Amino acid sequence: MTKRRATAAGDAPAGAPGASDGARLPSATVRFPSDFVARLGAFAVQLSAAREREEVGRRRTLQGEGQEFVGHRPYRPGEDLRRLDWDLLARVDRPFVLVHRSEAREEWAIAIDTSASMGVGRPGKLQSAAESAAGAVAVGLRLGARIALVALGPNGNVRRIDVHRPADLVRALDFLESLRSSGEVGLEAFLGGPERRPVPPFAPGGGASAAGRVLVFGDLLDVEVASVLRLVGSRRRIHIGQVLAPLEWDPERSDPGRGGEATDATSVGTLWVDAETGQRRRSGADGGRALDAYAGRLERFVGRWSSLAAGHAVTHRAWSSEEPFEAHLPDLLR
Amino acid sequence: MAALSMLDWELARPIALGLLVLPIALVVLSFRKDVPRIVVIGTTRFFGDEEAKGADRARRRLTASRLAALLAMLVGTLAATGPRPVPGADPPEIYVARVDRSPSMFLPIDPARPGGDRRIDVAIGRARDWLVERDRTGGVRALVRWADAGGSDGSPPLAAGDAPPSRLLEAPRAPAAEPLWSGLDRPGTLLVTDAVPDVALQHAGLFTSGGPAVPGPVAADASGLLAWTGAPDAPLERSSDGPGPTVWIDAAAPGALVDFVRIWAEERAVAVVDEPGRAGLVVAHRPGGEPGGEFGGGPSGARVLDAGRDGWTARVSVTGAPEIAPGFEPWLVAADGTPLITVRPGEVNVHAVALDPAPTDDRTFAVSAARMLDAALLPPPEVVSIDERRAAGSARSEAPRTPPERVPAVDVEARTRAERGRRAETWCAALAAALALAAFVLRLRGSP
Repeated sequence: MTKRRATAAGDAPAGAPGASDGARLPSATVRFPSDFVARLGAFAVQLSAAREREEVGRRRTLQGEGQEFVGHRPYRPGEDLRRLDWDLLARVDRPFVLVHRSEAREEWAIAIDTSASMGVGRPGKLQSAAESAAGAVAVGLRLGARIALVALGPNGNVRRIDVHRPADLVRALDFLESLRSSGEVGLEAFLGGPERRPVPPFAPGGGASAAGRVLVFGDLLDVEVASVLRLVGSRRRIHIGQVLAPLEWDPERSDPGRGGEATDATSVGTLWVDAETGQRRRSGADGGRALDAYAGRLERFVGRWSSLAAGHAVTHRAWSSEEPFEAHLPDLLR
Repeated sequence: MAALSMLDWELARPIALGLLVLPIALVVLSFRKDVPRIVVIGTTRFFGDEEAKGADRARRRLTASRLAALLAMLVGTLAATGPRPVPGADPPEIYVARVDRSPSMFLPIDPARPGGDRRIDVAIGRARDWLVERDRTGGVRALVRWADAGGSDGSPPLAAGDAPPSRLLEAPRAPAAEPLWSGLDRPGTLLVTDAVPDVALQHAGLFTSGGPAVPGPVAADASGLLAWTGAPDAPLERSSDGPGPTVWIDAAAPGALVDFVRIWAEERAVAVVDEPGRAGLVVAHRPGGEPGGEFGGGPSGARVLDAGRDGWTARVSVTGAPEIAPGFEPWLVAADGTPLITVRPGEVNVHAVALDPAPTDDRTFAVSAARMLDAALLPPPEVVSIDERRAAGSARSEAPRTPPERVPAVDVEARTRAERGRRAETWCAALAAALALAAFVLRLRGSP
């Protein structure tokens, strides 16, 4: 299969030449806003605190099972009475249960899709994925996880950094800001596929190098369902964050103010250029029907991932790149 | 501009061509919008499998309303530039071709082919050939006015190759006299005749048809035609091939005159015919108006006047205000100037409604009226005098010794140019307004 390679990434700024024929990727890079670190801190505190208040009886949560005491939460009828803090009950006359954290530090692996299709939209899909990944890193660090952050470099090489202390958050942000959207290869570079083996943190099963919690951020356009199913294991949680640009969710909304590359809707139609392959599709005089068909196919595509998640204990959440990470990350990290 | 120049037109206000920026901008904008918007996304596959072929190519979207607006601006710009005919650098040479229309010119050039070319056709053809050549090689445009040698200035200037007015090619009803050639010897004049005139030309050119003698009738009487055989001294031969002289009398004419014409016809052996068509003399009654009209008087509504000539008098009644028709000459006029009888060769117009010569003047009236009728009576069309039938020698073409004086009618030309320019400007402006209105209507009807 011969595919033309998108050229927007690398050192090119946003708006660098894109997939083909002069098409441009409007958001090929990542730039965190000035208040982003503060937002991350607030988000991590809120989410980790919420998780610490979750019931102990759940088999696995972000909090996990362990012996390290981290606090109390109100008792709910039906819970295992062995976790009830009887001393506290005697003192305050109200039932609380003990909350513990696993003494073994959990291994997280976070993969970010940097293929050319992630440079689409404004704000870009890569920007949204990077912000969500940063949020996950902040939460994970607060919960004491060891996190492997993985993405593809401009030359197609796998880039990875490992962070395990709160102070490493800055490194993680620098890593994320260095990402550039380019090329055709996305998440399958890490998750594996028909012609590719997964990289160690994402290896199937529960090997020593395998992560216990896998988070992937991307549009999933180049990911085979089978690749994800291979990752599923008895002690591994998989979180799939699927981000699409506003104009991908609703092409009719594409206008200069949103996508940057679109003009007003006219009767001559729109030429849709694939960011990675350069393939073209046209919605012209029959644009209404074409867009309806598009919406149907997209809905089935996203629905397939939701079905996969529901059937295999995988968390899946899809959002628009204009949505702040605080809106969808709590659900994704459930 | 080149096209205008080829048409000998120019622009009075070329700076107005700057307005062309509007239609040009309209065209550019039209095509600019024709490029489909290009949107880069990652989910192109969901649009289906149809590959867009050439979808990003600029498409023509010069819609009807835009086209109308574009044409309106173009035509409006043309109107604003003030198109004008280019003033002629060199005034043309305007020749005057004087055509001899005497009977000999209408004889066949070949006696053996009576229906073939006539001397006048050949002579005019030679003149036209020379004019065309002059126009082509003379370095200046050659125009020509075709005129009767015995008439006025003739037609408006025509191009060298144009045919002369058809009336010149028709034989006049009354035989024309041989032109007075010496009076026509002027610069820029082409004398068109059959035989070389007996004058030494100083200025005019000469184009003759030549031609052999043409035998045929030269006189007519009651018993038939007298024909000439073509031999110089041969006696005339009586021919029974054609009719003699004829007269047609309008029964509405005054009774005394009708009676006299009948007596005259009988006396001269002139046949009275029932149709005026080819009669050698037509006596027609042309009263001046209805009795009782503005000029009416007396019991019958006609005015009674006294008139007379050649020693006779008569009481004449007349209605209305008779007028002398073109080509006619008065023969009997009332004391107050009212024309009562007018004459030209072949025709007598009787304007009086009653004519009563004084009883004592009957003889004098008869002599006088008979002379008038004799003079007006035309021989049959076939009859041409011997002098006209004689050989005309050989054909000749001689260019004018002196070309026409080329004095451009500056004022007239400028006025004509200005008028044509104004007319073109008005038409362009009106057309532009109509196109603009059409564009507006099309826009209202939804054309983008």
